[in-house]
Amino acid sequence: MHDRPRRARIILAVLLLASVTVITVDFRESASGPVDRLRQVTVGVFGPAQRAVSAVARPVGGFFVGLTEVGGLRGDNRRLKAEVDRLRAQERTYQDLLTENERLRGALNMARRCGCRTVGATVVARSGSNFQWSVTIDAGARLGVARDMAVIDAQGLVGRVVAVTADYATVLLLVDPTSGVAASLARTKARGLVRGGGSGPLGFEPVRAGVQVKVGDTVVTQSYQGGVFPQGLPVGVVERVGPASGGLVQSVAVRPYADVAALDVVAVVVAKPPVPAPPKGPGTAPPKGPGAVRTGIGR
Amino acid sequence: MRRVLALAAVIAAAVLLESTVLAGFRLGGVRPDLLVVAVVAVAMASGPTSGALFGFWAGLVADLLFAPPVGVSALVYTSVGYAVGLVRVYVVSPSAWVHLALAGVASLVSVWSTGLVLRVLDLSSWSFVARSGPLVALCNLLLTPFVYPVVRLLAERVRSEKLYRW
Repeated sequence: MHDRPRRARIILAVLLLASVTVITVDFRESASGPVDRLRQVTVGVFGPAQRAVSAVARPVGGFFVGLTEVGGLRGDNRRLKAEVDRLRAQERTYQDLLTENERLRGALNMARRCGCRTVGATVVARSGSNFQWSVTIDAGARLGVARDMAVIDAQGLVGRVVAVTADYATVLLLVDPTSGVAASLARTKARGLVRGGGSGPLGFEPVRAGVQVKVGDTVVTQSYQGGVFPQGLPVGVVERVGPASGGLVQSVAVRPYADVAALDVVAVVVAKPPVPAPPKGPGTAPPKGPGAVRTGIGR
Repeated sequence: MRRVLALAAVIAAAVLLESTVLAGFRLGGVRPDLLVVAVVAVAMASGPTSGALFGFWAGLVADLLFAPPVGVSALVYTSVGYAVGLVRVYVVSPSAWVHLALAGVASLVSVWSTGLVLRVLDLSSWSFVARSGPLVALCNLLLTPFVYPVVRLLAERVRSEKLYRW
């Protein structure tokens, strides 16, 4: 009888030790380490089931989404009525709007813009954790998807592939706190690193101190030899520039273009255009930091 | 074997529901954590050893499926399962409120512990950790009446561990 509590404590100690070991191994291992293989097996096992459940339960999921939005529906209704009135007033300029719409649609064709070859995919599941931002898509190795490939949608960069099976892949989203993307400001070409902020905005860390950043600046991906992302993919827009907190680097908050909470259809960049020759001069080296170690987003 | 299969099915069902049906459910920017409710139910039905083992495997599967860092949820759920398993001998009231409160407290501790580990690894912020704990606990309280009795009943049916006073 006295052995039972002792046995339970021993089992607890073993499990805790195993957990800490897995965390350590996951942080230190290479792309094809044991934890990564386990991840591939897990995604391979759950992927088909997630796809099936998603297809069947989409209306139920929609119901839950609707429940959380009930509070805002009245306000939305008023806003939409005003919007309808405004649009009616603009009816005469309908043709102009249609033309503009077509131009915007063309501009949103990310794959064509970056000269990449892409594979389309549907999001079949999302991370259930409050601390991990990832999705599972229904495109895998059979379609040419591989680890470290960039994932985009009509608005811009979405994330990076971190695990692949034959038919499914796990995408680490841009907003995940473990992510880091080599980027630059479209206006000044100042280089830096975009870090995920979880449920908050992204953070842009310029490589060089004293870089001029303005609210409204567009942040795009920065390509370099061995990098993950094609050059010039829209990442987000600067929405706040704060003073340096205890250091020389400014605190820059970036709102991502891609709405990662409402992802549905994405494209995986399976072939990107060749990297342009790096400009000479100081501050042009690829950004360094934990997020940039794997030549782009993530660890 | 029957017991292992039944509890593995609970983990699979919880992970599937979290990543599909409940993926769009958000309260103040956070999602419910179905797995921790399942861990509490199994620990209450079967004791600390089963609670810790179930928590470990549930956390590991969730970590592997929901992207890095792998092992953090396993660490936290193991501790929660063990702790709830220890506490259960003191829970003598059959009142549903007591079990609800237990699930709520376990959820709060689970989120804050996960956040603490991730903060140590510089993968989360103090403000998000502090804010998400009560919100996840609230989400879980809404789901507990539907999840907890089912999982607990199943775990009791396949239980192999006897109740011991510590």
